[in-house]
Amino acid sequence: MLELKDVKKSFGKNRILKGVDISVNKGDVVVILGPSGSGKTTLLRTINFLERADSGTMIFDGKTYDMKRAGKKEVNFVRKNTAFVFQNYCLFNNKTVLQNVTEGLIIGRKVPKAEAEVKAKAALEKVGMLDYADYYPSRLSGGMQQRVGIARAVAVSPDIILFDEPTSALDPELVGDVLKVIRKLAKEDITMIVVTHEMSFAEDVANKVIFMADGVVVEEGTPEEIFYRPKEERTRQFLSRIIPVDNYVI
Amino acid sequence: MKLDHNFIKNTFIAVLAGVPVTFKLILVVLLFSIPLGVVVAIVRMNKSGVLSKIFSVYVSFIRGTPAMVQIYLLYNALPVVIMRFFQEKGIGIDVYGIKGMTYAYFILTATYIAVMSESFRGGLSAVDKGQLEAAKSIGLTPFQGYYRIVIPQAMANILPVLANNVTGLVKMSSLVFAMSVFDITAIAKTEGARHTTYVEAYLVIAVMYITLNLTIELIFKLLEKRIKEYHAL
Amino acid sequence: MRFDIVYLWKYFWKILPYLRVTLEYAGLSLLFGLIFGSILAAFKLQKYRIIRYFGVVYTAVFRSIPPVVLLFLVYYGLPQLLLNTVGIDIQNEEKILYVIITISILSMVSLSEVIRSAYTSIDKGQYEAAISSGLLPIQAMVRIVIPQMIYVALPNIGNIVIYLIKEGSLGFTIGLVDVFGKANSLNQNSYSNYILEIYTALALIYWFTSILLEKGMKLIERRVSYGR
Repeated sequence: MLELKDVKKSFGKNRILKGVDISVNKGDVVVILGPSGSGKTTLLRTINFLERADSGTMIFDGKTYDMKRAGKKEVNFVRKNTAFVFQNYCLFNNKTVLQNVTEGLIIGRKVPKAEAEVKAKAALEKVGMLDYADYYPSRLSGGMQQRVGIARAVAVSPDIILFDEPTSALDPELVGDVLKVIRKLAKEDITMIVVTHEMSFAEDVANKVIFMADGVVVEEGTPEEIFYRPKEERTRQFLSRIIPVDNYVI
Repeated sequence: MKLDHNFIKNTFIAVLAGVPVTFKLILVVLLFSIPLGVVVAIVRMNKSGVLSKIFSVYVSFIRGTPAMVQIYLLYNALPVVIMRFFQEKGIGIDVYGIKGMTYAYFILTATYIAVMSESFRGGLSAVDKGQLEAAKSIGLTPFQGYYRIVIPQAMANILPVLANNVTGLVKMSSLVFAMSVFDITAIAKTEGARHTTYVEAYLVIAVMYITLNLTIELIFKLLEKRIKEYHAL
Repeated sequence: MRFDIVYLWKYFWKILPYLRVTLEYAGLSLLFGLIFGSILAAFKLQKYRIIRYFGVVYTAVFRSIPPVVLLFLVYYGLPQLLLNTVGIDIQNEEKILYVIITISILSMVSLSEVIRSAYTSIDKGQYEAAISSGLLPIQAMVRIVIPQMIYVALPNIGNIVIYLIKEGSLGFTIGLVDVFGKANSLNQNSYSNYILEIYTALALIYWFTSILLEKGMKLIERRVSYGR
């Protein structure tokens, strides 16, 4: 359903993506791992055209896009059929929780207000935030804000949800709630790409793990293959630095 | 549009006579309004107290009324009434004898005490309250605490606002023509009227004000950089 | 010393109706200032260095000129300039036009700084989250970014309105009849017999107006505080 081919991106002299290929099938939960600076966040952002790739091709829902030259209409089409969950939540500060979720439906997709609210409430229910529908983001904890961020993404029934380190800005005790929500979505066969550092989550939920370093995909495979039988030295190094192998709890 | 170059040169020379007046005004007003502004700011930060209330009304009045209205009130209106009163009572003091420059010093300083106090209040309250408490706890007097601990920390925040205040003062000094003080604006005004070459006259002083204010801004930028390096902020 | 409260009261009400003129030029200058100030702010946020420098220099120059000098330049210079370059004659226009032009320039320059800093204070993620929710860039600006900018900018905008009213009071120097101009003519007509009463009344009108505006702004601020 989503395929990227040879995506390249530089910031000034800094080559962040040096030709990345990935493919995602419907219902896949793809986790992208890698040290910071490996380009995983940038890759995710180019999919939603938040960042323009310098070159590369994307096949999405059977259509092919030039990632550098895609026009306004194409960009909008992709954005309307994808959703993005931000590291620092990025809830609209001037909208209530409910309005945050309905905004993309009513304005972006022309869904009638009543219908949008029904959908939004269902999404909020799913993440356990329905009770806070009338709150403004500034009154919520980080974990709550991120759950709303996820509801905002789910509500528009996208073909794919892109998660950009959804828990890395959270206090440790709040991480669990958010991961629980994402797990739940994974079980509903929602296609997603998750950039994260949460290893046990990756192992649990992903059916495909991609390891990136220095702007390229080093290795990809099932969680089992990556975590227990990594082929590349670079992957082994990374994993051993994150979690000492003998301490690793399944 | 044709500009009279000869006149521009002549005005420039005439206006130069007003430069010391403008500078004197600015320096004297800064000399008094900065320390007094700090005092008003500190008094006002301590919200209770009659003095704090009085100062807050004072600041509100200065901020809420145009400078020219203050000038008319103090320079044009008040002396007339005082003079009438003195004449009725046969007191032989000549209020009209007070020079315009004295009024100018007084009125600009009064305004700038209020302006400065507001900037200092903002800068000082941005410093964590614990700083003053810690200073007191090791035995410093409140004055020492402010002078040695709080004010130096506030300085980095205050400098940009202070720069704004100084350029504001330069601009406000252009109003002293209303008190018959011959600063650069007043001279340009009379020169322009005498030769009916207003545009040239005002262009000349506009350039002078721009030069002066941009220089002031540059100096403050350099100062700010020095202070930031010093405190390694 | 004589100060007659009755006359203060009387003149207060005689001058007050002319506040309409003051509010007129302040309101119009605010409007023009918001429009042109946004454009100037956009200049200063540009990637292209030349455009950005133009915005910065423009701001620096007009921020440095005393308002009274700017007013005289506009009053004496602009009619000549327009007549000689594009052939438009504004010499017989109402005095208020020159005041509006002058304080619109002041307003534009101040507001451009306020708008610029309000824009940079909004997290880029707000815009990104909006477009990735499927909003068009223009919708993202109008519905998400600008409302938050208004909240940030509001206290400054209130101050700028007061500033415009105060600087606009210089209009009497070119013969505009606003509250100040009216006070001057009342003073002349009464041979300075009530000079202190008249100018006290004038000062009070300005003061009350400023306080009311400040309070009004606080109310609006609270309305758009979005739970903060």
